[in-house]
Amino acid sequence: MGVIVLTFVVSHVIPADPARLWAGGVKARPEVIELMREKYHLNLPIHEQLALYIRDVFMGNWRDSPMTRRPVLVDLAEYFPATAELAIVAGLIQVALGVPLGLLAALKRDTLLDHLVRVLALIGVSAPAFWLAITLQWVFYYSLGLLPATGRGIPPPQTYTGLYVLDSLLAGNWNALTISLRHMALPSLTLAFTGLGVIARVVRNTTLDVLSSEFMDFAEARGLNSFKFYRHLIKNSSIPIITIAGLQFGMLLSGAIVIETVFSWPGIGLYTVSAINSLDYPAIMGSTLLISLVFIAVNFAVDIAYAIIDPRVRL
Amino acid sequence: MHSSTLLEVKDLRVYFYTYAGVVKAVDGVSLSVHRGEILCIVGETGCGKSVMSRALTRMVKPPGRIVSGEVLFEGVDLLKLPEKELRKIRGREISYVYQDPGNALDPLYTAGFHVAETILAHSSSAKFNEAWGKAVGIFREVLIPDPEAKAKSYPHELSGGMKQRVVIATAVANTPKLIIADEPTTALDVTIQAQVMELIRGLRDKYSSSVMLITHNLGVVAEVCDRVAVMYAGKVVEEAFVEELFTNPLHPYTQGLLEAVPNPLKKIERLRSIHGSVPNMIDLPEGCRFSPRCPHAFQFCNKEPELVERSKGHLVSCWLYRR
Repeated sequence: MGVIVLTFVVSHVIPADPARLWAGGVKARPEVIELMREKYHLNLPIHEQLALYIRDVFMGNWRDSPMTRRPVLVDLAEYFPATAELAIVAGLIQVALGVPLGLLAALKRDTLLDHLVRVLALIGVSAPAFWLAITLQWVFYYSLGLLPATGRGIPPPQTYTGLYVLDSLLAGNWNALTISLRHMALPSLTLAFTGLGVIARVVRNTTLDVLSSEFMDFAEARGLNSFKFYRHLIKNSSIPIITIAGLQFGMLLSGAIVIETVFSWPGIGLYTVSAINSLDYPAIMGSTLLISLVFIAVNFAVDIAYAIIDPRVRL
Repeated sequence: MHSSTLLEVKDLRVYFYTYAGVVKAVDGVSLSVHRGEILCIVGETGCGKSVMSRALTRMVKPPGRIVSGEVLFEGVDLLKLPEKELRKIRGREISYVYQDPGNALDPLYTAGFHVAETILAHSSSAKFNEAWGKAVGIFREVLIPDPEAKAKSYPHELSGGMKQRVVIATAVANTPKLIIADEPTTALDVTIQAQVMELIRGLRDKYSSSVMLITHNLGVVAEVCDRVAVMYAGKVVEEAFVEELFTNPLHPYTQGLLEAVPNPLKKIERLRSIHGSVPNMIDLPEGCRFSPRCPHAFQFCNKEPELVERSKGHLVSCWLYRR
């Protein structure tokens, strides 16, 4: 609700005449402009517009996009899976690489490996994503010709979820899977790299914290074998790791905007950028709202995960 | 070696290599634990008691390092054992009871899980359900009321005294030969303290385990111990049977300690304190470490005294008793 009001106000305070733009620009006929005003309630005072918008959103009518002339929900359903796929794959890469790296850095504290992880984190945070994206494109597409530079490739013959990798898997279509994965490689790696080091650092510090706790000492004193010992270590470290992974997933969704632009990835980021360029209020608000909803859902999932792991959180 | 000796520590040294210098936390400790006895280690905070007890199974973390010494457990030097063998001894032959039960238990696992896990860690055949059943049985033995329900409780749902019973239950889970209890009652209130001490003594009788009890509470010492070793600044300065120590303390430090608390065996006009404080463990005094605080210090004390037997079972390291 707060998100709706906020995006509504922010997008509507821009001093421009959207109706003229939507009607076709400078040369638009006045009747058409007036029609646009009518259709999008632009004649009403802003608070009434807001009230109408909120009512419509809850009724499931996210308005039509003046840019694509289609309902925003239909647009989102087309563009969002691409972003979701990118963010999920990048997130998986982050966790799959970041967690073991962090664990190793903690267990081999102050060794070369630990310092390497630290440098990696620093580069990941400070290297601009677009620069990294272009560099990777230059190396793998232009110089080596190994991987495609832009787009998602051709959609697999059957689409169930809109996630091409998953769809190809479900259909058992290996050719389509290879195509999707090859297109996925560069953008997801770029996206993953920005947060990889952060995850590794958080994992390292949490693990060190847990390692220095008395119950880990006691676990050693009880003569537990490696498996039992590390089970205590990893379960206790996982709470902060889940927190940061949840936050990072939100970052991935929003961070996708830059990546999608560079890689021409037809996702919600690209959609939002073009919506902003054409003052497409319904599309801007719709995509912001969707990202917020996903973010809230992820945080909710994180809270549920806490309760599963930590008995102190349960009621 | 005494036939009934279970553990013999010879000249154990544990140093911590810090930026400020080398902290000689344990500096030449020699003592022995006999089968079935309760040996108390007494000394002020920071005299190396806890570090010494953990060094026995090589549980010293960097920057600490065991520099030299031998820990003979049933004739085997634990300090030379590979880590894998040592792990079989920890929690099975030698188990620990930690000072703060609130932090010794993993908050994400149930009380019963800790005990069952410790049983499973040292048995190749047992199933988890069997181990859980045993754990509940042990809970009953350490007098935890409603053991079935308490085993399913998480540490944060239990009181301090209950948690300490759980920690003790994990310690006795595999009927160890030696239980090392590091100030097991410090974090508990007085009424619970007495119960826990009573429990430890009862378990010793039942399993005929030996107990090394680390404490700074002389009341506890008089109550439950068979023998006492007094530690000062990383060394054992006096070792004796408990009655002997209380009636005939030899080392000036022990005398000072006893005068600092009400003594049930002697009438003391008023309690006295020992002057000064524990020496800086990086820059220790020359010779006898207690000499700067000692009322009887004389010219010999700038050389280090050795621990020698003065009468049967009564050892002291002080120049006052040479010749």
